Amino acid sequence: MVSDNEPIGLHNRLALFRVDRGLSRVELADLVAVNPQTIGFLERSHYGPSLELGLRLAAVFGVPVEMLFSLTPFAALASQLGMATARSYEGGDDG
Amino acid sequence: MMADRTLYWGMLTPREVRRVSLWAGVGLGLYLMVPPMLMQHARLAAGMIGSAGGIVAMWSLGWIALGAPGWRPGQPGEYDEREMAERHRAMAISYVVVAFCIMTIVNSDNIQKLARAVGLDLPSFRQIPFGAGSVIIFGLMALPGTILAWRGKRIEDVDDVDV
Repeated sequence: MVSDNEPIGLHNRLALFRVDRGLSRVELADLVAVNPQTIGFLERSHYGPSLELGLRLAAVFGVPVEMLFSLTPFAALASQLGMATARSYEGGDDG
Repeated sequence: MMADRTLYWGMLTPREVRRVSLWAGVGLGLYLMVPPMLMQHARLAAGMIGSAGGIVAMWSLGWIALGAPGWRPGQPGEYDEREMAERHRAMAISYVVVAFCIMTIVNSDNIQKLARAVGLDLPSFRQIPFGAGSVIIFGLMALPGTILAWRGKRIEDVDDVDV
């Protein structure tokens, strides 16, 4: 149940995107018309948002919703950056 | 944009609800525990402390019932989807508690007879002082708002410092 305040099976990178954009919880909450406390619940995966709220959040950051939310855990940012860097080097070698 | 949460006088924030509910708890403790403990030795003091506790408890619970989201209907746009879900859950818990209390009160005579048959001396609801009945009613009125306020505490404590 989404209102249990317990960790749920939906993973998200909301905090990462929010900090990257330099937004406070209050500012993000204003942008998607929720209480700032709800952003805290979402970031800690203690609440699963509705499809509408998920889409609104994705629209704020201008990314597809699956980039923000996932049913499987996201890979660590460092490993993703490492893989992306390795790919870019491989691409450079090919060229 | 969410609706203004300080729209009317007396409205409580979750933190205030938690604080007031603690006052209510202390008041209830004084009201229910002190008179039986001191009645034999200091009847006047017991009565005064118990009455003061009862007043604090009832005003606190009444304030929560009026000032916190609970049985009170929300204003349009007052709650977001998470808060609505939380509120429904708190109302469901409160509904069960209320139903249980009503059933207990209605059946208190039978429960008393049953208890006496097995050697327990339980009071019937008719024997409970009017004040105690009022405290129960005020407590039930304040229950959903109190549940909501305490359930949000864990996140709110963190959000206060890092928003």
